[in-house]
Amino acid sequence: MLQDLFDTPARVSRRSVLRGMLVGSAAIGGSSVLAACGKRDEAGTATGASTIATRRGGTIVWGKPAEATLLDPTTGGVGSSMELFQIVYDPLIAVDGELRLIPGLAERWEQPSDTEYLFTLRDGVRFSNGRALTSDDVVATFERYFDPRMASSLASFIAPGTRVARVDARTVRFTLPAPSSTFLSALASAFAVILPMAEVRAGRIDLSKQMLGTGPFMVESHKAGSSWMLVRNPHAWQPPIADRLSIKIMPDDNARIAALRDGSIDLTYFDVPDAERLLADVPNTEVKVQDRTDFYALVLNATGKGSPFTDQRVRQAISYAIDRDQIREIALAGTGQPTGAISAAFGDIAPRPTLAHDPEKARALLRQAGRTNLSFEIVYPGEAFGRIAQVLQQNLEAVGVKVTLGSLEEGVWVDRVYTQRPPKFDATVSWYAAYVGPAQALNLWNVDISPFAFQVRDPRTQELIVRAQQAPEGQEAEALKEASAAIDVQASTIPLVTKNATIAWRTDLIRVEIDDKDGNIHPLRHSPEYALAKAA
Amino acid sequence: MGQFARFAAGRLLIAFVTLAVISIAVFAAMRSVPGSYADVMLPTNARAEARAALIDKYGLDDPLPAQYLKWAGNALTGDLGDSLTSGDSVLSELGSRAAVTVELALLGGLLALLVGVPLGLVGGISRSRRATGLVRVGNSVLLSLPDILVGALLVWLISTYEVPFTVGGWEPLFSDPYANLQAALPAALTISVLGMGFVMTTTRGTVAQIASEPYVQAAVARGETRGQIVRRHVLRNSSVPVLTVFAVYLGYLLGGAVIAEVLFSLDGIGRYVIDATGHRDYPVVQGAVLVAAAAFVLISMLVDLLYGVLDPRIGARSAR
Repeated sequence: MLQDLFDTPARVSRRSVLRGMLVGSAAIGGSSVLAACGKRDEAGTATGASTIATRRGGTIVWGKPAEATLLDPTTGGVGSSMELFQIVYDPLIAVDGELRLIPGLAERWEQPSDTEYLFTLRDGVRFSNGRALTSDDVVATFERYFDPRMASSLASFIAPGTRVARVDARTVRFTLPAPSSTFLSALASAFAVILPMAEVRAGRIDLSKQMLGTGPFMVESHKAGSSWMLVRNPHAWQPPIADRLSIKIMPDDNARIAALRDGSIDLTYFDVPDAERLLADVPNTEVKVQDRTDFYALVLNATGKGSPFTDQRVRQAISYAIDRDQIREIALAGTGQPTGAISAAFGDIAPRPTLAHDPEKARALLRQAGRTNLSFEIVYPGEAFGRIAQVLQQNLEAVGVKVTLGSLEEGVWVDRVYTQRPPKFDATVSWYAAYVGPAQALNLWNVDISPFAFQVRDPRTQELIVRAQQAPEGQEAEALKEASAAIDVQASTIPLVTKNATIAWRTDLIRVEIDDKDGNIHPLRHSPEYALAKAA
Repeated sequence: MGQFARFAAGRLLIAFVTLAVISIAVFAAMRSVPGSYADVMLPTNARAEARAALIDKYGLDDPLPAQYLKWAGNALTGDLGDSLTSGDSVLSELGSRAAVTVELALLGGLLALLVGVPLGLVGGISRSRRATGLVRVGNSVLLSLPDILVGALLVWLISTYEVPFTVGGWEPLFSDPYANLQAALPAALTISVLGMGFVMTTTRGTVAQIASEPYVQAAVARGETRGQIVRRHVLRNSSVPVLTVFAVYLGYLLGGAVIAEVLFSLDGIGRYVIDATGHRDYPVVQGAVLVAAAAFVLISMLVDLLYGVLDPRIGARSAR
């Protein structure tokens, strides 16, 4: 038989001894190779950013978690795109690390009356193609943003009827129909950047495919879903120290951590709450958890036919059952702050939630409403939301409410929660941006602005929101407090905890500056000042 | 019409019908998924007008049969349309990513053969219970080990130890072969594990059957050496089923090894299609699936031809 040619009787033979030695050597050799390779942990110790000697020039490599899918700032109000807008374009007003408004393309502004603003542009600013920025660009940009046919992201923060006009080559006037406490902060947003309108109107540039701005970097090449190469804008009014910014699109968190370890990227950021822990043993790496004004919220479908949430007592019971501190500690790894409608990241001006954790009140309200056997489903679109949903499930179970959880693919989730009329969900965990002005996020509850079909229509709350968004300077705090309290009582979209970001960079490769706070999804705010380490 | 021409024409007709059915199925499936392109691309608080404008821009509210016929008509001329997300030609985007996917597929397939065939041979021929037992256990492990686990383990290994491999640092093969292999090998190993299992199973079973055939016994009686018997009789006769499994597996890999490409941040077709699916970028998904299906069909046709070379009896039967 063929097998007889291959097999020997079961006895010790030269072949079996040799085979055994080979297997044993391979096992020993394999572990020796790994030991000889050394752990990357032993490669060096962490050093502070300030100790490295830096140089001019070079290429910064940024591992970006998501591709910028919409390139036109007019309609591209999604975070992954906003990050890029703020590197290639500039707004009239910028923001510092404490969310204070500072000059951007406008070197100063005045407010002659409650409804009028005059902006004076910086002198000598040019787009990356060399053409000078003029007030005509600014006027045309905002006419585009204000055009109802364009349905811009900015328009929701600017009252209809707002006019913009050229005063002279460097001065622009905005005239509002009513006072606004959100106007200036809206102009500081990523979707209020100034566009090269001469080129747009001449048809020389398609903003949905090309980017041409006054920012520190300009686009040299782009491979969709994969990478961007940006180079120094030779005409930048804030010229960067580095020559180039290479952006690698790396959606997988572990891949970005591995790339940070082996130095193939210089910096990156994470949305997952555990990121700080995951990065703890990455050598030569500094990690900063940045306070953001963004926040997570529990959204109740308060308009569904037969929905228990049409009863305000039930909604308030849900709100009383929520333990925000537990969400922060368990679901968000201790990051973020419990928040009300005004994001807690704005500091003292942000009132704390008025319907704070009180299980007894929750049970009493459910008894009053006759809903002692309440059960519903919370749907959610991703891992962090799922963790929050699990904590909410436990909080609600403690007051006798049975919650089932449902994970949905993001597109399906958007369809069921935000697109379908009527919406097809009971409750969901979502997140919202609060940007850089305390009153901006109130738009979420302003039914005339936010097209959410699940939102409760309450004239009193609406009135207080409008009043807060039109409050003159000095009266804003009280108006915000009243609006926030009304939103708490309404309890249809219940703010939970702020949503932070974790930024990490190699301290031996790059010197960076990261603000303590951010409201514009702008991790590379100080990119012009980032500098690479000198070669050893 | 000659025999071969009739054979080729028949195969081409089947291929065309197969691709048409696949394209209709993918089109219908993508349009059935809740959440339109506008839903996933715009902010959640985007107004209805903004959604409508985006949908109108790309003709997504045209009747579905009209959308399909327009796309299919263009596809017949080689135009797979433009990506809704980037505006770039789908064909050129796939082309720029094909090198990564093809290289991963070929490397993964090669690893599957290099491991699966020898071990399958040992498992099929050996009468040692220890040897066959080890091969059987190894086979089961390879078939049941999830590639995401293998990939995650390799990513951890690369990020923890100073091993000469990288994550996400792809360089074209001909510009820097060493850097290319540093990035490609871990990903190829990830996707080859299942293939090793398939090839090993098929080889083991086929070899065991062939080893007891009368012509093999005759070869042993004639005094042929072990090596001669394995080369001339065992491997040759077991090649057809192994080739079939390998071809199916290669076709699957050419569709894009999604898990490996995402884990290792490699810019291949699989990752591109997954991103496009999430973005509801219909032309990309439709085009990529069509291209992958065409590659699969082409491989099947080539394998059919190769059968005739490997086994003249099959070629002769087909010729009659």
